[in-house]
Amino acid sequence: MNLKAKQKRPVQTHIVVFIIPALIIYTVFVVYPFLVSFRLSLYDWKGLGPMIYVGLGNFVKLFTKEPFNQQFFNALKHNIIFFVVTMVVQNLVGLVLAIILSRRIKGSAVFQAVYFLPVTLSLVVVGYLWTLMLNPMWGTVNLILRAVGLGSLARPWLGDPHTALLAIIFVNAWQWIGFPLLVFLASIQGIPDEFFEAARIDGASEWHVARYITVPLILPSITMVTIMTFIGTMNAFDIVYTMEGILGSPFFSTDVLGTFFYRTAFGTVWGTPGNLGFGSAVAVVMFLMVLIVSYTWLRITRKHEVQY
Amino acid sequence: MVNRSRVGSLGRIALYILLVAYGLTIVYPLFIMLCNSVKTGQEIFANPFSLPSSFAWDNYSYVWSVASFNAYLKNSVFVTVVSVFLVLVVSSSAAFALARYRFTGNTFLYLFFLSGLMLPIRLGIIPLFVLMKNLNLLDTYASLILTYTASAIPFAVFILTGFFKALPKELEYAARIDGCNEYRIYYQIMLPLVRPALATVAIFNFVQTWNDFFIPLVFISSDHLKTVPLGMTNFFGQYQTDWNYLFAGLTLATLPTLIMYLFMSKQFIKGLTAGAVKG
Amino acid sequence: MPKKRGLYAVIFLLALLLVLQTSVVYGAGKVQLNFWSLRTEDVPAYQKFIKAFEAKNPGITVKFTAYKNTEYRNILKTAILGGSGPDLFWSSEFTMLQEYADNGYLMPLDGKVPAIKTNFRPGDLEGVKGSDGKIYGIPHGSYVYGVYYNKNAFKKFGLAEPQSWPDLIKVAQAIKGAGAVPFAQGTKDSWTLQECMFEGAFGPTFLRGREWYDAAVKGKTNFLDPRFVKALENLLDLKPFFPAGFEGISYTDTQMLFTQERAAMFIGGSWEIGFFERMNPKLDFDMAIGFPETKGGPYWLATPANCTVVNAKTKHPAEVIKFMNFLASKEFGQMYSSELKTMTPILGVKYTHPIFAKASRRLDEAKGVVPFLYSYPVFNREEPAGDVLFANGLQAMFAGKKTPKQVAEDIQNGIAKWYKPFKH
Repeated sequence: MNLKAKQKRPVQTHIVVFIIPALIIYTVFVVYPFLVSFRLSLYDWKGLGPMIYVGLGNFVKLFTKEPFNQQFFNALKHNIIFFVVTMVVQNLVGLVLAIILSRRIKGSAVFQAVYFLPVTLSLVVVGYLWTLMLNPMWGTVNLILRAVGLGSLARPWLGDPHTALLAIIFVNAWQWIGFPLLVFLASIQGIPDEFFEAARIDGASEWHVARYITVPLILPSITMVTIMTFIGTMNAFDIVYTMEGILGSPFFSTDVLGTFFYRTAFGTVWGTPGNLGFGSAVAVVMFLMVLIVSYTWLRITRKHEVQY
Repeated sequence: MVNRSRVGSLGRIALYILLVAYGLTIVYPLFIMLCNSVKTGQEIFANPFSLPSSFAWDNYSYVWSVASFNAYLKNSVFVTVVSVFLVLVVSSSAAFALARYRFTGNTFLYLFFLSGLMLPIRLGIIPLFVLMKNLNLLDTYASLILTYTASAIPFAVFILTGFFKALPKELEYAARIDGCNEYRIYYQIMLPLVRPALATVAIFNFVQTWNDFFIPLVFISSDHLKTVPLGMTNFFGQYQTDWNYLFAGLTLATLPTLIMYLFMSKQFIKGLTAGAVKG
Repeated sequence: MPKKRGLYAVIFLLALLLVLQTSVVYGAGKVQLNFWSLRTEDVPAYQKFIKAFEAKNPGITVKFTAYKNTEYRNILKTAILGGSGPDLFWSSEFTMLQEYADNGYLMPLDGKVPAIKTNFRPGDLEGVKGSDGKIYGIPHGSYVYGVYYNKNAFKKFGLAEPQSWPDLIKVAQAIKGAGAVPFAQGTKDSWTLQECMFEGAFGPTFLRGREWYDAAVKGKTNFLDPRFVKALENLLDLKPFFPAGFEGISYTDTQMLFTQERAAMFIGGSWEIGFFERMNPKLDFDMAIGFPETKGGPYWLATPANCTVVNAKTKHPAEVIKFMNFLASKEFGQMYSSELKTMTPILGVKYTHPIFAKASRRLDEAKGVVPFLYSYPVFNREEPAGDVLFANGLQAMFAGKKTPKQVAEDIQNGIAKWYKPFKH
């Protein structure tokens, strides 16, 4: 502690040398464009036309003017659903799989490798292949449902407003489940064996072991995965865009903030030109929401972490 | 106890069936992609899920040479390798400084870098484009490399700082007593110790950079500079799409990462999880 | 530290390499024109056209680059804003052309391309005019919309080409009665509903060309007009004849259904002909165009055209104009239509393909030929935009979530938010 305190002195050359390259590249090519976005959010600017200063007008428009506010809250709702459902079908299932694979299971390594594989795939490939799989007429999903006598469940998954968003969330989870799974698995493997042995000698059930030992001890990983999921789902764009297009078809039932932003900023292919100023306002709101929620989350969960 | 183990063995079988079934949902779509990549366009239309009746290898030769996939591949490799390398160099040194020295503004800088985790580059694309234009970098590899490097720095700094922090301080003190300067401590002593984290960062960014198509879409207009994912979009027409070439293209775009993954899945997984867990 | 220095040297060299990379030098003495488009499928054909042009105009080379259609506008706009736009580029008529023209980004072509006056119908130039009335584009490929039908299936069911709207419904009923799928249509891609069905194949006749539209633009009527609601109701009559699960069937799937003879009819544009022939050479099909209320009655058709426009900031205006004159020539029109198997608004082009010959005849016989009117030119200027309201509304209507009346109300309420003549 003493030595550390001693080190706290004016910034030295080597520190500058170490930090400056990353700082410059990051500031110039990430932060600066963002700050410009903040500035742009105060203008009405259709890109090719003049820039008109409107103050906070874009934000007022976003929250109070139809149809923008409807579309915004509709998209926000879908992002929240995206997050909640992903927590269950991706992270909870990933946790269960991690607990299973942490036990002595034959071929555990193979399962891990296979489950993680989609993480390495391009989203274009994933979205495209699953659109094919979910096709109502010849898609494999409906064929399987019919083959096992559940034909009544077969439906146009991506065309039905009740199922389209869920279908996309599942496809997204399909791609990313390997990530939480392996993060949790590594954390579980990091827990000293004595904890489990002691519990089992005491006759604790699997559920109890999971509930009172595994989960509390891997809480930091769970927090981390939750926040990453939150950031990821709030910024979801590619998967919706690839599978349902820029309008979040059918009729906005899969529209998320990402597609809403893209549409307002750049317009649709044939329609209105889009408004870069208004789009920037959407981007700013998205960023602030993610920032505030993640930060609060971290603050709260830090207090509950268990040390061992 | 007897009772429980019998249930256990039955449950075990059910469990394996479930695990294998889920594994199949992952392998099957890729298998379909592979099958369709050697069918003719007509056959894909007629039977999108069947095994190929004959092998139309010329899909690949078309995609490879006529659709200049070989050039795209070269571009992708170059851009990805250089970006990943740059990220490793600048982020590891920055993370080292942030983790090992106490100085005014340390926490601020750390949070400053971290806030980038929440900035999807897409949201800032317009100013970024104008910036590239002003720097005269549009339609160059540099525009891609700088953007990828910059957007990867937050994650890399986040992971690497965690790792550097976890290293025992004694190493550093010992080195300093031996007369090492700070650069050597970083390069010769500390850096080798965080290799797993470097692997994490490298692999993570490799996958992201390799698969990205948005950045080149906006910055690259010359065909000879396109990367693989962007080149792939050549196959999507306004109204018509050549499915056979598209599937061959998708397969070729997937293969490099897939092959690397098959050979180094341990490293991929180890690297990734190690980073996230420590974080 | 020597190792470290080596590392920096490598980085520096790389950086240098990258900087050098930026200064691209083109072949000396030759002017290169950059031509951007969103028609990736046209690249080989355009390379042929350009070769023909270059052969006659030594000293000029044209580089044709096509971008993915969904990203095209975004890329183009960023490029134009950044000052690195192409010399000439593809534009859709009306909205997109006017967006660029009205902000001074396009070069007016009046007086520079004489063939505009002689080689085009005045009506076909409506969409290439800016708000100032000047001409900014040369129209090229134009499409005709109608109903493709499988001749073998029609023979099997003893049916003839439908001559009117009621006829079309009857034919569909007969096919459905025989246990087959009448239309290949799906509604997952909402633009097919809006463009192919409403604006293209049927809307113009339902709304009698410009009759309702001209009144609506002036605010004398609006989308709640019974004529407009009736047009939506008519369209909905087709729903029972779509395949099961049509809500999830994408545009590509519909192409598949028709070419694989799993559906007897396909509502679409004339660009499909070449593609259908390629995807199933055995398919025997024809196209019915124009559906009057009664056989022999008046009908209207829509032919939206796209155009090529010139960047006002091009560094080679003289060369671009040479190329634009080429694009307006009969020679180009002929090449264009035979190479791409499509129609062109350029007059005097001879069509050898029977469907194009027929389309050409049906255009002549039509009571009126209009551009895409109802959701595009005027009602698309602000948010909420006509095209999105139409696309979503029609999709919801076919999904059974909204009645035609409700869809009309939604469109009306949306447009009325910003369209002054609708505000009373």
